[in-house]
Amino acid sequence: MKSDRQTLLIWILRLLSVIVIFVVAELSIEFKLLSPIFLSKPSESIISLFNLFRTGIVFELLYQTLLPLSVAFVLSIIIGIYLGIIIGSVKLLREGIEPFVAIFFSIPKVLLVPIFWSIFGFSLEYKIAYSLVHGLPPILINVIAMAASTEESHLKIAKLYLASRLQIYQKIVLPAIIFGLLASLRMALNLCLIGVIIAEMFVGTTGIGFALRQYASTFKTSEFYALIYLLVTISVSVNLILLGLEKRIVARRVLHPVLRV
Amino acid sequence: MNLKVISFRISIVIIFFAFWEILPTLGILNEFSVPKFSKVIVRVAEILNPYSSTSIIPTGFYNHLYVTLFEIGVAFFITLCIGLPIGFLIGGFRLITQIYEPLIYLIYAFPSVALYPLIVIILGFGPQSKIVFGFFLGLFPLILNTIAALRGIRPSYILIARLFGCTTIQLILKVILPASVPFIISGIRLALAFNTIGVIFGEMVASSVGLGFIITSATYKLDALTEYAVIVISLSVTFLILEAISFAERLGVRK
Repeated sequence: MKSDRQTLLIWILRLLSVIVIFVVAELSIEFKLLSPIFLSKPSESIISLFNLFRTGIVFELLYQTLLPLSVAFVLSIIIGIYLGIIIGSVKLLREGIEPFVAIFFSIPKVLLVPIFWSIFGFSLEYKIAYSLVHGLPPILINVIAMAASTEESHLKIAKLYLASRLQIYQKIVLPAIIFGLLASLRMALNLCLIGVIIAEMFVGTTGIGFALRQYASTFKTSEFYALIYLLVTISVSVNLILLGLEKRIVARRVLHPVLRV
Repeated sequence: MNLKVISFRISIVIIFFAFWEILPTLGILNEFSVPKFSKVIVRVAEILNPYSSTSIIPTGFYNHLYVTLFEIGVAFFITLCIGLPIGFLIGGFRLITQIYEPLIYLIYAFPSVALYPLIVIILGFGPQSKIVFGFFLGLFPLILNTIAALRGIRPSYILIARLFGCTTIQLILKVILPASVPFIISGIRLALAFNTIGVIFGEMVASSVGLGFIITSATYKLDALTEYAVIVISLSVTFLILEAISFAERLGVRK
């Protein structure tokens, strides 16, 4: 019973510290310690979030942001699996390409924004492509590593039993990479979201990123924080869902520590 | 690593640049949006040459480079000064770790770029906003890695040190710090990478100096050559910075 009480205590303290932050924010505006341009009262922001919902602006913004996000995420999973298996199962390809993927993963991709908007224009494709560039590398790195570490003995046995190439990929390689894929999903989704927000913040007139820039530069601070709360809700809930999935499935197997964040 | 792999890698690089050269030449990509590789390289050389760079970038390329490097350096320094103590403070006590680690993880997962417009409004267009934003991006990966480093220390090390009767200060200096160094260095590298992203993002969105500023202003002037040249230069600069830290990491691990 001791551990139950401890987890309860931890949750209470966690919630308390979040509440304290909000109360401090609320009071510091109330007593004019901070200018309301910089930080709006949490209570006011929540009211303006409700207003945004009532006028329907939020739904439009969410659609404009979540559509490219989900397309880019799904695309990066599909491309990541196919490319990753191809690259990972051929030794020469893997050794040749892996360092380039790693380099591409670590460079600041903000620098590439102008290239994307000059190629794609201010369209939906621009957001999708730019977000894809963020989401693909982590998946690719993990899938390559997992496909490369498929157990030799499994492949040998499959060949002994005269399995065709397709069967080998379906029955042996694909299950082997699933865990690597799962471990990188959360990171890929977070990076995709960053990509979409960056893309929207630079050019265009659509999406949450654009609205944030607009609200900040017109000093509508409470609306700005309302959108931030909305983004926090999205990011936190998505992360918790994927984390739960990971824990449930990955816990059964020792994972290669490919990407440790 | 054998000859085959090396030649394969080199051929990948050559194919990449060949495509960059051929696609605009054939007109598949518009030369105003993607200029030829050969022209971009010439422009890179012109910009890097201090005598001819003022004709392309009136205020001089190196002034912009110094500003960017200065901002990254200051952001990195502040990140280290604040992130490491916080990491040790949180990671040193099990209860605090259990309470705050998930929260910090969620902050880290949040797309912090969303906050930048407000930071510009508060701190202005000068270097302060870039430094603060770079610091903010770099802080959380460093804290998380420091916590992970402290958690990764084997309890048996501490037990043995205690058995030999060492004091708390000795324990920290002789056991905990050396054991956690590899993890912390990889955290420092992540922090530097995020500092760089933050500073360059800040310069690109709102600023009047720095590499990011040259890129966006060249883009708005439809000067694709300068835009690509400065992107190439900035990518190489950030690549060199990150490689330097990786090199230091390898040196530290070998010891």
